[in-house]
Amino acid sequence: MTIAIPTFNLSSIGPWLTLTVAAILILLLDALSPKGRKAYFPQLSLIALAVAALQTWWLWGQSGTDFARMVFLDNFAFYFYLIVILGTTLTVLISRHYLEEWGKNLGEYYALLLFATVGMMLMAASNHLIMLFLGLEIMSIAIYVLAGLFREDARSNEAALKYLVLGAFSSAFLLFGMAFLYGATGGNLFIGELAGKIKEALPLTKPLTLLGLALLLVGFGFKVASVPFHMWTPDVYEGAPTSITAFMSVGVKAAAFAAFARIMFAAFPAFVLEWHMLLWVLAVATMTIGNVVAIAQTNIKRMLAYSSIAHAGYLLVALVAANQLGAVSIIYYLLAYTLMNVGAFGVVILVGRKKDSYLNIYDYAGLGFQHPVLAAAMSVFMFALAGIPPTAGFVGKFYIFSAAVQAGYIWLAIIGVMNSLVSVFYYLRITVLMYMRPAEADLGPIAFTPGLVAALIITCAGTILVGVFPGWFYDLAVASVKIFPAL
Amino acid sequence: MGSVNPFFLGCTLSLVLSLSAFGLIMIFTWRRPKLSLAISLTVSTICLIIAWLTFIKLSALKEPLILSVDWMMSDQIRVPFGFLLDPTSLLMFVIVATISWLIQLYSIGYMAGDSGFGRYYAFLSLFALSMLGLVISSGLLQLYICWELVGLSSYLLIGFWYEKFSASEAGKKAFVVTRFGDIGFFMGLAFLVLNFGTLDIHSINSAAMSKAFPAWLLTPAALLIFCGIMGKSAQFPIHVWLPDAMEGPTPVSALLHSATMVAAGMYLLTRLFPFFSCSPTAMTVILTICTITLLLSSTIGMVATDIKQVWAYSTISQLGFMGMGLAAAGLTGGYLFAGFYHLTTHAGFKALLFLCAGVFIHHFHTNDFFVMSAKGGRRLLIPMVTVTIGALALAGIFPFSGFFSKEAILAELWNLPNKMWLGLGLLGAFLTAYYTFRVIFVLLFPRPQAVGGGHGVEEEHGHGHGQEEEHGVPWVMAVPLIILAGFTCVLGFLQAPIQKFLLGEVHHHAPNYVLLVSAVGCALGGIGMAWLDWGAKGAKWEGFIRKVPVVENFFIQKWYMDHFWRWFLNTVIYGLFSRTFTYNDRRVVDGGVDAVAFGTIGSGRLLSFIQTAFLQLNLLFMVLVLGGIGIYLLMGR
Repeated sequence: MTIAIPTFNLSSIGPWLTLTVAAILILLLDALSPKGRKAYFPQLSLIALAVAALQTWWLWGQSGTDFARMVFLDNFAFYFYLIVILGTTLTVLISRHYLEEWGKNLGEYYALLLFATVGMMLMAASNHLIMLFLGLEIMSIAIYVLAGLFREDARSNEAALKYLVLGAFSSAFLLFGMAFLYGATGGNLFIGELAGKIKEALPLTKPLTLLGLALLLVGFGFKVASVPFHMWTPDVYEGAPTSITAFMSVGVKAAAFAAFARIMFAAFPAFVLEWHMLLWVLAVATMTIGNVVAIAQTNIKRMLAYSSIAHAGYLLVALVAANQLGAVSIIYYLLAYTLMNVGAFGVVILVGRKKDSYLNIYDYAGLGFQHPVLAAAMSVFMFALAGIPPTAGFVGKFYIFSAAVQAGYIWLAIIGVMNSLVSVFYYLRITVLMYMRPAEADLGPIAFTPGLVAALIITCAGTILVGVFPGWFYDLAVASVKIFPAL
Repeated sequence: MGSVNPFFLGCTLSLVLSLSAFGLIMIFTWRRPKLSLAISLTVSTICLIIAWLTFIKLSALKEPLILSVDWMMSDQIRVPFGFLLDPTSLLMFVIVATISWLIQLYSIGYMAGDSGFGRYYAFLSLFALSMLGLVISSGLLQLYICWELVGLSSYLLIGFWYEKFSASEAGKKAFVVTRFGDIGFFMGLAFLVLNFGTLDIHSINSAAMSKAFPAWLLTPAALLIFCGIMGKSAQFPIHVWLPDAMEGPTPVSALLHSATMVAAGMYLLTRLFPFFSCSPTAMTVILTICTITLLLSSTIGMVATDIKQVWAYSTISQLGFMGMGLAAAGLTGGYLFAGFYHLTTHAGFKALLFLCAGVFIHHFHTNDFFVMSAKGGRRLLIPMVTVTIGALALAGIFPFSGFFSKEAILAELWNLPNKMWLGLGLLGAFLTAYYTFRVIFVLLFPRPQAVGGGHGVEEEHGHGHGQEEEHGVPWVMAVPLIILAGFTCVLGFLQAPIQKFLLGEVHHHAPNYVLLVSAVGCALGGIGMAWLDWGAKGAKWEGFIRKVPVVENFFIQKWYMDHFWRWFLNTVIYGLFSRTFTYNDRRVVDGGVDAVAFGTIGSGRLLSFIQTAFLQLNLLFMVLVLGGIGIYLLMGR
């Protein structure tokens, strides 16, 4: 028997290779270098990320598949590479000082971040459900560890354990769903071919396919933190290290939505009515519960966790719309969300200090007088998250809701706008606290380290620039959703 | 697009520099007057150089240069941002840059020692930024944003001495009153963009010229946009803010009245002239309103005793005059030249008049020109000469610039079939000459005994006299006066080149001697009347209008417009609308919102209560939901 080794081109997975090599290098260096001389891991990670971004830029415009049809090469995937790389870069920038405060500035932290990033890219680009599952697990396992990084801290432990158990469960759902689809299509799991196979075997295997669809929905719903699979989110987001919370809220969400959107758009045209209906309900529930519960929170990380749930709801609206503008708005919104949410978490880290001692929202009272620039940056992020012009958040929401209206889901758009209105309350409460309440005590010095300052400048400027000049990013997004002819 | 045109780089540079001057001063250097001055003046000088270079290089421009970026929001709507360089905007660009540079120079002397010196220069930079941005903007939304920025900066500058109650009140009044007009402007923009689909100035104008607008769209849009012009250019009946705006520092008034705030309105009318002139209805309304404004403000100017008030009313009347010129040209199919030319010359001589007034005020610490005269105002040689030059131009006397531009406007009015407008224009010219020379003659021929409370004045007089011998007029204040006086003398003879520049060709008219004689006659008549009342040896030092006390009182009370607005506010706005709306707000809206808010917060608490930390429950819930989804999918159809 001869085994035909398929031809492949290593450069088509160049970004993954770069990041993997860098991660392994960091692990090795960590093991070999003496204690106390481990300060250069962030720089190394940043260089690797920059190289990966550059490689992605070179890949831009390619189309097709590689590695025996396992990997998609298309702009949709590349756009997500860039978003994920951006999210990781910002996370690295905000991490260093925070970790040093906790005495955890370890090599494995950066290695795991990079591994997770590779997993996310794999999810965005995979053409095969098993590949997708591999990506998901590469990402998830790294994040389970990262969430429990502060092992002396009970909440961090709780977060890791909870995320692990529930995550394993949801992975099982996902895998189970894939198994059903495998059966329903006669043993084919290529995303690009699923639609045809499902249609072929429809009369025979309809129940099997539907069950597979249901299980996939639950699995992805868990990863994007959609209601009613969101129960883990507040606890995990609150307990995990703040930098990892930021990373999870943007990176995991982006990767999960990339895979989710690709499968839904490409594989289930035969069941459009069903999954639209289900996701409609999920979107409404997610937006509403996320926003309404966020109002009652007094811990800023918990509040941002619920806000992240709500934003998943908005993205689900775009998914339901399932037209070209909808797909574009998913990409655009995730870019905007990456900028504004990491920025907000950066401020949370700065204000938190001393091992997260100041996480209550009332700790922000009077910040506007004692640290005006920091408060101004936080206001920008809050305005952006609330969707107020001229920030990126506004334009993103505008695209999402106009996509919904275009697709005929007017009520969904109305509910979305109402929810957006509710969200203004808790976002602006932070701003009001910062500027209109005197500080209860002197806030004390805040350590502005170069990394955090750089991250805040990038996110703040990005939030405004992407909002004021959306055209360029919009055009790129349009170019990348061309791969879905059905839209 | 290819390589970016260097002119656009220049435009961008001047805007960015002005903005950064504002930011730098406001954030870092406002406590250090010298440094702030250096930053602001440098930037202003660069803007001046850029403006003149662009103007000279592009003086033979055939097609307008446009650089615009669409602010993309939707397929059906085009909202461009960018620059539109055509003769109109280039000329205005130069005017704005020049006048604001001169004012910055002059303010060094005028504002010296003021505690808010740095802040003052920051606001001047902001003003320059907004006005330059307005002038060269390619889209109406950008123009509107800059328009509001102009409003904001004049609010800041009028209320610059905010510790003075009247100043902060005047700033607020200017801001709020112009808002009335701006609401109309904004509605006009919305109406236009919804029904026409673009806010690009060039395409609006070319569409108007090819008659692509239906009347139902054109007239309402034009009238609504004109509302904004009325507010900014202080046209009847929302002119009431401008006289109060005199509370600001005098150089600011000069800036406000010559090249920026009020000129912005007339500039917009010029900018959209082809658009406006497609609607005869709108043009007739504009003509009527401008004429009323001309007469109203001239008559009030006759009785005011505050030198800045007189100039303020003269500004209103001259703006009305420009509007008349443009409207008449629009109605008869003429060109925008006359009105815009008057805007140009007016910018020069009005800045001159205000800056002269500023010298007097700086010197004598009073705004009342009777007191100035009593204290020996005519001894300040340079300002006295230059103010006379400015006044001659304002009155429309050959060979000063005002003569030529007034003549051009009157020629446009002559073309109207109804000669009533021409008559009213001539009446306006007569009144203008009268009240202008009332000021001049009072200053030139002082009668200290005629001013009430003469004794106190005498004492102060002696003191002021000693000082003025010492320092005279500082050169930073004198130089702008001389430059502007030079402009006033020269600009009139540049009529043909400016016309060629604006229209691309010179339109020669056979000189209309009847018109010429009557216009000059009116101006000289006004001066003569002023001479009889105020100048001549045996003059009674009271206006001819005193013979009819009822009318004089009517003028002194400013046609009761302030009273009217006060009454209108009290009865209609507060009494009728506010009461109803407040009730509705308290009971219906607030109550409703409170109910929703409490409900939302309550349900938030309730829902977060459901959120438990039990893993088992979470898992169970997931499985149950999965079951539900499965049942829906399998049984659903």
